[in-house]
Amino acid sequence: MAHAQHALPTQAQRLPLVCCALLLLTLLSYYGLNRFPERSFVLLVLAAMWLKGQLLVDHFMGLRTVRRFWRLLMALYLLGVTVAIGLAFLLD
Amino acid sequence: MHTHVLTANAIGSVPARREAHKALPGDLAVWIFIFAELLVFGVLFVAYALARRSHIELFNSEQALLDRQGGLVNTLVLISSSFCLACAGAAIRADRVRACALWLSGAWVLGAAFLVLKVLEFSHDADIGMQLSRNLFDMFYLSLTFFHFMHVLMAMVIVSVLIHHTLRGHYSARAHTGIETGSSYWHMVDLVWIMLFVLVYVLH
Repeated sequence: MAHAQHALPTQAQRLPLVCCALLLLTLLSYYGLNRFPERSFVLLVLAAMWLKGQLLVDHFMGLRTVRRFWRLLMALYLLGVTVAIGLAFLLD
Repeated sequence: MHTHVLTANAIGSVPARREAHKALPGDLAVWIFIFAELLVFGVLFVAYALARRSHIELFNSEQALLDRQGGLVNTLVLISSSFCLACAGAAIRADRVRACALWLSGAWVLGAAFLVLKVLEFSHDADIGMQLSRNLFDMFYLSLTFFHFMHVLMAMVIVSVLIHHTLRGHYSARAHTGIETGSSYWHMVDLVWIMLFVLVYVLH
C-alpha cells in the first residue's frame, strides 16, 4: 500500500516545478533579457516562449503521454508560430 | 489484493501503458475546437509580426504606451490558474473530490483576477485614445486582446460548471472526462496568452 501511495502522486508532484519554471521564464523574458543586443534578445525571448509553450502542453495539458501524432501536431504548431514570428522580426 | 490492484494501476502493465499513450485527455471534440482556435490565433500572430515589419516605428511607439507591467502580472496570473487546473485534474484522478473543487475554485478566482486587470488595462487604453480605427497597431492589439478576453470569459463559464458538477459529486477517479475537457480548453487559452504576451508586450 505504501508503495502504491508513493507511486500515485509522482506525476502530480511535477506540477509545482513546471509552474515555477513557467513563472521564472516569464520573469526572465520580461526583466532579464533586455540587456542583450536586439537580435539575441528576440531569439532568446522566442526560445523562452517556445519552451514555456512546450512545458504547458506536455505537463499541464497532459500531452506528454498521448499518441505521438498529437504531440507532434502541437510541437509543430508551437515551432511553426515561433519560427514565423522570429523570421518576421529578424529578416531585413 | 486491493494493494496489488492499486500498484498495478499506478505503475501500469504494458497494455495499460500502451492504452495510456493513446487517448487525448478529455473529449476529442474539444481538441478539434482547440486546434481550430490555435490555428486562428497563429494566423493572427503571424499577421501582426508581418504588419510590424512595414510599420516598425509606429508599432514601437504605440507599444511603449501599453501597460506592460499589467501584461506581465496577467501572464503570471494565467499561468498560476493553469497550474490550479492541472492540480484539480491530479486531485480528481486520486479521487480527492473536495481538493479538486478547491483547485477549480482557485483557477476561477485567478481567471476573474485576469479579467478585472484586463478591464482596467482596456480602460487605461481608452484613456490614452486607443481605438480600433486609429492605426494598425491599435487594430491588432485591441482585436487580439479582446478576442482572447472573450475566450477567458468562456473558460470561466466552463470552470463554473465544472465546480458545480464536482460539488454535486458528478466526477470521480473513474469518471472525470468533463474536468479534462474543461481544463484542456483553459490551458489552450493560457497557451495563446503566453504567445500574445511575448508578441505584443515583450518583443520590440
